Amino acid sequence: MRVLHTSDWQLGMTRHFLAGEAQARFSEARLEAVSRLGALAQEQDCVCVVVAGDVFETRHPDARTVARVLERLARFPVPVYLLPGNHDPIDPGAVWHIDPFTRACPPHVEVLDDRTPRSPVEGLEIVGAPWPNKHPVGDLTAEVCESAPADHRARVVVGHGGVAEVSGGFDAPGTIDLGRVRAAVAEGRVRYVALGDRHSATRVDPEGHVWFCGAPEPTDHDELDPGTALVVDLSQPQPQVTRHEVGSWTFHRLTRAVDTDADLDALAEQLDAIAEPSRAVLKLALTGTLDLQQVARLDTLLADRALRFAALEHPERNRDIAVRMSDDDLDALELSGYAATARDALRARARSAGDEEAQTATDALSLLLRLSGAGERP
Amino acid sequence: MRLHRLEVEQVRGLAHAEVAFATTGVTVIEAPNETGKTTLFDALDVLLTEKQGTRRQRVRDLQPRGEDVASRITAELTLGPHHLTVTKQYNRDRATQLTIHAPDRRQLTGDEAHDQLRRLLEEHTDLQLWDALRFRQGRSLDPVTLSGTGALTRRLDASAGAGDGAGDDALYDRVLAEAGRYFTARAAKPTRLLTDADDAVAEVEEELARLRGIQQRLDAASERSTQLAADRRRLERRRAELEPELARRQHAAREVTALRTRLVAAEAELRTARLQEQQARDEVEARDDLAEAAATAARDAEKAAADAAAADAQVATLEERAGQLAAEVAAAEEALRVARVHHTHARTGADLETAREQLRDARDRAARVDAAIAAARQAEAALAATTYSQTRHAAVRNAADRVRLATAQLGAAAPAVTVSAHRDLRLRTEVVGTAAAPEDGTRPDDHTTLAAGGRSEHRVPDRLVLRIDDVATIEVVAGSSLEDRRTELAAAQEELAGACDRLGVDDPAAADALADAVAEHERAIAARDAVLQRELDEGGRDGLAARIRALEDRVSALTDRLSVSAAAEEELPRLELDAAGGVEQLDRLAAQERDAEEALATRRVEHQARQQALETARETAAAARATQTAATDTAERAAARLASARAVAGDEQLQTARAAATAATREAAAAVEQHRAALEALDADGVDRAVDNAQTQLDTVRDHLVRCQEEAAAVTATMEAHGGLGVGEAIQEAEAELTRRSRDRDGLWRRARAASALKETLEQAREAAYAAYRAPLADRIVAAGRLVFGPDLDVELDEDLRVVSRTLGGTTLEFAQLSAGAREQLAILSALAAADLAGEDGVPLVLDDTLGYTDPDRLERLGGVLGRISGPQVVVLTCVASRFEAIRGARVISLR
Repeated sequence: MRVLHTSDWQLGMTRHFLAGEAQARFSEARLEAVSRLGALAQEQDCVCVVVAGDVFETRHPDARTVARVLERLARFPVPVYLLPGNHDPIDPGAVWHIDPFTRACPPHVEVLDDRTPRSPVEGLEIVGAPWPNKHPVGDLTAEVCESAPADHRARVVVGHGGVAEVSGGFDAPGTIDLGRVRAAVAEGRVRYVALGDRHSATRVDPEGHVWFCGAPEPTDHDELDPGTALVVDLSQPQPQVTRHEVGSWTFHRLTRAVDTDADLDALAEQLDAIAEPSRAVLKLALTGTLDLQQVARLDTLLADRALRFAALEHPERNRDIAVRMSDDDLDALELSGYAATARDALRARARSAGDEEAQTATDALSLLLRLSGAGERP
Repeated sequence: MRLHRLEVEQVRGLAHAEVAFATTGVTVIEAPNETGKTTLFDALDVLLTEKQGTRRQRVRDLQPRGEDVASRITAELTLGPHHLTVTKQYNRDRATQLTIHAPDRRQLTGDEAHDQLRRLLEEHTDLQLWDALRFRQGRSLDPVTLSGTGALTRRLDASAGAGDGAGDDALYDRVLAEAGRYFTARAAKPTRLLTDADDAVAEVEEELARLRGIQQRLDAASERSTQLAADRRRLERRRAELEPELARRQHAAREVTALRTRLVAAEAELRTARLQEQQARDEVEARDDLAEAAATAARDAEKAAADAAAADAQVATLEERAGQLAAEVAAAEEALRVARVHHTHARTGADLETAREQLRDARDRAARVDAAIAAARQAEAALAATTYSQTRHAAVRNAADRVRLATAQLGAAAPAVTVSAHRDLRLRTEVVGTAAAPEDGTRPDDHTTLAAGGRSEHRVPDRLVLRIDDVATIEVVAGSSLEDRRTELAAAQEELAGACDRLGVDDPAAADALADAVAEHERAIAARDAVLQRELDEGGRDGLAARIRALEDRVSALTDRLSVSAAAEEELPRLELDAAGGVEQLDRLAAQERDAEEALATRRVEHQARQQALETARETAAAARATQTAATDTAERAAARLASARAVAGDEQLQTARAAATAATREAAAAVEQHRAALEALDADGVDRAVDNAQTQLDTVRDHLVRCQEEAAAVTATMEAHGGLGVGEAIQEAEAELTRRSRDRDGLWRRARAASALKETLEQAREAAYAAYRAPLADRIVAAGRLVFGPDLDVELDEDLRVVSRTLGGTTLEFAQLSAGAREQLAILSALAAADLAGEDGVPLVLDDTLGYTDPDRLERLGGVLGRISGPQVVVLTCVASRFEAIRGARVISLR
């Protein structure tokens, strides 16, 4: 008796670093992942699918987003239980109560909008701990676990929220007290706690009854090992949990020091080694000291790669590259007359003025380099 | 560019002209006006710029007037390293030929030749400078603008130690273009590129704000909805609690109501018992009051009888005393009457005396008046009868005086007779004739006794008769010698007689007597007026007569009164009237009368007081008797009432009834207390309040519930209205878009700042460089200018290398303030300095009919300057070659 455990689809998510078609492909990929989950459920003989929260990115997703996911869910061969999480709590104005969701929701798809137990098949009970709003009071999941009878049945509690032992900190709303959950498990009230919120597949308790399944597609650079779903076999008191890769996109964070032309070569190689760059999102954090020509080379190198990747970010805050004004640079600026005077004035300012002014002076020097034609050389 | 040779054929008025220029220094081309000096250089311009085939007006204008012939222009030039000859033929038989002599010999024709010429020109000639150094006829006197001329700039850069100025300027232009992408050139305002980026950010921010607003409303609605649901549950629970509570409290309230009804009945019984008790008490009290009243009335009647007797006694006493006082009043009245009679009698007597006195006086005055009037009347009659007047009287006196004078004169003239008596004798004299009485008073026929020894002298006016006793009669006649005097005397006498006659008297003495009588009469009349004035008052004589009559009446009346009072007096004690006592007696009698009056008044006041007291006492006595009657009556009636009341119910009976009523009241009060205690035990008010409270709360809860449901419906409607819009997802998209646009904008601004900084820095460096290389040009202008203006000349150039001021002899003047000549000279000196500075890169300086404003002395000095030129090529076009004689070593060519 298997259950497919997934969560954090966060449909309707928009990423600022994805411009134009990349965003569209990203959104489409996430819907494709849902379809893959349906196929996985069938393939793994799952009796149902539980989605442990954050089906949607917001309580008010676009109608198209809702329509498209319902269309894909309609093709699922087994019941699907959707839990409202912190992104899409079941407050009165939320998507769950509103057309088109209510109108287009297939019969085998059910929202766990209260704590009433559902039974997709004989001998299995699914109990949800839905988020009533964005700021719930108390530990929803622990409460549901504790309120179940200690009958050692195959009971799955579907919950959503951080666990202090995993992510640290108790301040966030809806944080789950692992101690209470484990106690309920130990008392035979619940066999498996299917959690959502953390985008990385994680076993939460040492006994293996409490799991985060991870997001089916990655959403950010700081996620560890995303793109997964869990197939849980509940036939025995000890759940058997299997991890499945379902993601098609990758997020990469590259932190490198670049000081020489060789470093730039290595960077280029590393970037070129990334597979499926059109589904890869990169964030660079480069440090080092480069001369003006090397800076120009770096800019060119990145500009070329930016076209291949879904996104290639090199945000200002992650860029710690000192520009060295080498004599070569200055020689490259074969200037005379007052232009030479201006160049020297800018160079002095770039070296001595405050941050912003020095930056502007450096930029002005780069511009001078470009306009004088000197920067065009490789 | 160097000009070696210029040749034209069939160009305007010039059929053929050829000029070979001095390669360095000055070439003076002399030609009269209108003979084509200017045409030469216009032709050169056309040659250097226009293709052979052009049909432009300036080319067509080259043809001589009215001739359709080919215009041919040839120039031999050096352009940089190239030495060449170019020939073009315009308008007809068009042709172009370019022969490059050095460095490599080449020959080109047609447009290819033209294009090559243009390339060489642009490459090696500063066309801007060429234009700047052309001083055409009628050129304005503005300073020469030299900035932007490449050749000069290169040389100035070289002088200032800078590098390739042309390269700098090209870079500068690119920097300007780059900066111009971001900021406008003039106002340095951001361009569309930047503002569009800013606007794009603002636009998405606005959209984001709008979306967040919707999100907030949705959140608020959602929160409110949750809260309303909770409220609704709470209210429903509360309603479920309140409804049975209300029912329970209403039941308790009904019990209280029943108890209250019983209490009300008991209270009514108590009130009745109290009324009855009060009634019994009142009856007992009424009986006591009745007995008391009867006793009191009996006592009052006795006291009233005693009071009445006392009052009667008082009245009797007072009546006796009043009788005495009446007698005393009568006696005082009598005394007063006597005193008054005496006083009146005495006063009447005194008044009579006075009246009699006054009557006498009045009568005397009347007598005096009458006498005066009578005397006056006689005098008036006498005055009326007389013919006297003072004039007539004066005429008599004057006539008498003349008679006396005439007599005296006659006497003096008349012979005198002296008689000497030897014994006593009597002498009688008689004057006959007209002679008047003698001076000595002797009258005619006058008798005089003359003692012995005596002498008597007599005048003889006419005729004198002396009779001495009877002794002798002597007649003496005067003779005729006195006739005139006599006539005069007779006339005087006749006048006198007339005057006397008119006065009615016989002689002057009578006239005097008459005058005296008249005066006496007048005095009598005057005396009457005085008497009347003195004796009569305003009433006049009639008033006086009336007064006399009144006084007579008064005397008569007083006499009568006196006789009456005397008759009355006879009954009175005698009064000794002292005739001499007069006033004192009267005063004494008046005092007696006053005393009598006062005594009477005193008696009367006393009597009146006693009478009043008597009246009061009588009233008191009457009242006392009335009181006694009433008291007696009251006492009788009180006794009767008490007797009849006791006949109805005895005193004992009343006491018994009262005791029974008091006992009944006590019982009723106990019953009321019992019910009240029961109610208090139930906290009746509290029960009522509790019902009210429960009812109010229930109403409030129901009301809130209704409102809660209504608001929940409204909130749900709001959420349904917005929930389908996908606002959450739209916000995410907008946020992503904002991040992207902000990043683009920031990058753009960063590039803009860089471009702006580069431009500013470059401009500053450029300005500094320009400032540095203005100096060499200024030095050359000053060096040449000192030869013209003097050793203390200095000039200042602006950034466009124009002369802006001249300092001479310590005085600085703006360029515009200088004289036309000085401006012209400075302009030429600037051009010369520029040409000199440009050196091999330079162009010829062409002065076409200039220096018209320059005086001969300055012209000579300027000529000296031009004569010193060794490097630049200078061409002077003039119609008067002698003006430029001072130019040493100049090549002079005449086009004549």
